[in-house]
Amino acid sequence: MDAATYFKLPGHPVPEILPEWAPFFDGCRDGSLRIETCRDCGRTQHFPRGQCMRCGGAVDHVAAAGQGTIESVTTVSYTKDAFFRTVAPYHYALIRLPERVKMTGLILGDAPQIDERVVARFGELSEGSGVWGVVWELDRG
Amino acid sequence: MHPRTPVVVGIGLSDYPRAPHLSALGHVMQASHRAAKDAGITLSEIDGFMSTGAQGNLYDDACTAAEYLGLRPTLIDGSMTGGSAAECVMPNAMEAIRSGRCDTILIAYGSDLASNKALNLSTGTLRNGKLAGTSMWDSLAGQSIIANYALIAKRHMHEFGTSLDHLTEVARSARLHAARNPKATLRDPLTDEQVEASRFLADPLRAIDCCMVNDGGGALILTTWERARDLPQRPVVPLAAAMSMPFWSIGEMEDLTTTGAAIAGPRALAQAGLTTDDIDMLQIYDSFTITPLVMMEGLGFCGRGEAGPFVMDGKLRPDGALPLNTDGGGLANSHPGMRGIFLMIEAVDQLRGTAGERQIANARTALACGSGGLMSAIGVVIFTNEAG
Repeated sequence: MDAATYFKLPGHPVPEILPEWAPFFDGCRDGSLRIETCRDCGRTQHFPRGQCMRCGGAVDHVAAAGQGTIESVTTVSYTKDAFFRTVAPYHYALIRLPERVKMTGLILGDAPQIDERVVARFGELSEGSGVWGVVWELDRG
Repeated sequence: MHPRTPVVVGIGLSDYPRAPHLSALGHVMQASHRAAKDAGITLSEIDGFMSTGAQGNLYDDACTAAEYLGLRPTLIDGSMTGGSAAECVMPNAMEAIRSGRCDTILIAYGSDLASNKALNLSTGTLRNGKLAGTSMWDSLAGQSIIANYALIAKRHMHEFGTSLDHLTEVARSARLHAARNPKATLRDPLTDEQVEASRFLADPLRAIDCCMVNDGGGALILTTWERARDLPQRPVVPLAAAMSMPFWSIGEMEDLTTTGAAIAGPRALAQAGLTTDDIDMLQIYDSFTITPLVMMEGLGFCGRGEAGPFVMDGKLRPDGALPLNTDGGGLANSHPGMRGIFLMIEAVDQLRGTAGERQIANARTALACGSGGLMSAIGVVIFTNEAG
């Protein structure tokens, strides 16, 4: 399955978006992965907190390269979740970004391996949900 | 022994593995009264209450549980570090007894997750039909508890060559302990056929790598050495306790094979004036077979990445050099959702010498290591039965 197909699936769960989280999801709608970067100390963080967790400084939402490396990955065959059951087996991974943050992600494609590179793909979490999100595809080009 | 040295004087388990007649709060209450009876006191003596509360369809917190039990505490600690909560409150409990802030502390937990089928193994918290809270970030990617632990196991295999056989040995060992525990749930040995047939739920974790989910509760009562002299049970002394929480969610885990056990373990051992060689048995939260392996490395029982080969000589088994989870653990005895309290209850039962068929001979020390979240919050407690 590719990202375009994934985002056409009905019934994707949607998040309750807190004020500090809105810029990230707005970024997904614009096709960019926004990572909080502190204006004072320059450090990055994810998930977003709206202020720097280390120094309390204000943060900018900086567009990341949209690439990452798989730190670990598992193929999930069993889940009780109604939506993810329809996608299973799927690949759930911890992805390290060059922007010095890590995030969990769902990887589309065959048998992803640790240390492989992945790229971010954006789309609406099921048509009509009004929330855009991110999944990852293998970068085997 | 100082008159205010903290001592465990009572332990109690509620009915398990299935108890449709009890609510989660009912488990807390039944286990607490059984612990009080074991200690030869009544709950009216309790002046400190430490509890994650009751885990079920409703999440009843420590205050609700305290009132349910009719307690009038002057100290409440409802720290919610998941499966390590009972260990993580122990430094506070011991300090409160030493300082005189409390005389008698009850630590209790109960769950009706199995009867109520309430355990959410998947996506996290829903509010008004939407994923809520910070766990949402991982839920959108398809997380489950098993999948998160699988990420740790997969990385451990990748870095150190840990194998399915290593994981299987932890599961086999748990069954052999359970065989000696008449109350345990899975008492038959794990056969090669069962291992072969066990399917991946989230690779590399198979069904045999996962703990069970049942109903149950546990309680433990601490008081002063001075008071304990008038009570019936052989005193078991918590020599030291420490906790560490370097992260909570998987995305903040700096290194997938390094946990707070590497901080809490050495701190507890140093406080106790002991080394790992002095520990006679381990009670380590076996949420999954990978968990005790990673914990043993952090605690210092073997080097980083060495836990797989380390256990292959059978040392974790009942007749091994370092028995692990002598009641059968969460893999084979009981896992009502948060196993922390049961690790300490089993350590105390063993050190009293009252563990029956599963008694480990001549044990003088035991280490309990609770793991909460995703190996996130680690609590370590070291017990002895030698009243120095």
